[in-house]
Amino acid sequence: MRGIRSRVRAYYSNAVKRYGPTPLGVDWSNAASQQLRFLQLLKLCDFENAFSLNDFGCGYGALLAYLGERHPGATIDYHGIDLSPAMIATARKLRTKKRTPATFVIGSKCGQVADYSIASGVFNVRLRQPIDAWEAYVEDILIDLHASSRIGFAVNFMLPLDDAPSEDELYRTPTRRWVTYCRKGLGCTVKPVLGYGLREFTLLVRRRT
Amino acid sequence: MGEFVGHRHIPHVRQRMNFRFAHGDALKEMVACQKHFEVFSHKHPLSRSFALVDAAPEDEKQRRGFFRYVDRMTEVGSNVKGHNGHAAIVAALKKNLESKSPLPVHFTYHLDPRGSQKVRISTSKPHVYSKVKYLTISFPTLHEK
Repeated sequence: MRGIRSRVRAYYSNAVKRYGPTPLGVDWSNAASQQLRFLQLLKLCDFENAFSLNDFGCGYGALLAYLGERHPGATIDYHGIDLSPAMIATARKLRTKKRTPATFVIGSKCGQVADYSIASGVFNVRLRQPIDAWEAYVEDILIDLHASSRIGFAVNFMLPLDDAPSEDELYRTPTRRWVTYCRKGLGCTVKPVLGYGLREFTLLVRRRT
Repeated sequence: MGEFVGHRHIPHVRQRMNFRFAHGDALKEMVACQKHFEVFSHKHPLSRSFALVDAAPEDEKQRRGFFRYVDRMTEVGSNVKGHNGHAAIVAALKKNLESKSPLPVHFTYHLDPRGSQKVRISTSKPHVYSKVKYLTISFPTLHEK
């Protein structure tokens, strides 16, 4: 697991150094599709009430900026976590210019319990790791997201291509694999979100009440 | 265009624009972005919309030049009655992405030998190898002021 984390850390540190605090810096193709993912993930949250939020794999803090723009009236205690020190340094630098309270920490775990946890795009780039090793890494993150969320968590995955095998660099999976894991392995209720214009799906995972 | 964006970058810009609006997954993504964020709208400039979907050069200097060029479309006409070039492009993209059967978009450039500088909006089958119909948006070449 350490080897994978180390590779992931290096990959995203290089990306933000090369492209800066932009969607490309966190390996998304453009701002609009990045926001489209946030829109799906945030369907988990009840914006009528104040809540705390772990943003695992927060990058340079694009979700925080999005929340400020799209939900200016919401009271959110935001906690961003990322493996990459370069990402966190960039996020903190951007934060100093804003007034909204938020924390950004380097880490491979959420490190604190919040009402909700969200992770966008953290499972997609597997950096040529064998599938079984990568899936163990995914499970490890899902377990931590579950343990760190009072109400629930949301994650996204890339769907397989129609007419080609998955790329060695990427991880693609059918919906069933992780819906089953979250239901049976974690004992949660799961709502898959599909068909939002991207070849991927989002899982809204809630603790059973 | 060559005065705003370096000559060697132009094929790359055009490729990026066409890639963003290509038939298949890319078009579905654009339709979804339009539905949720109204990316193409008369409320904001086209350069901002292109920036949001990254249909623009990667290089920062070329990017600024490209956005200057796109902004200049307000100063040229179009083949759409009552619309300048900028408004015609925005209206065409908006209408297309919000329609029941959106078409992929083909961006291209033209030089009018008569000196008329107009954006041309049409539908066509621009690829000889494909029967897919495209919304075609052709930008006029301009001189930088």
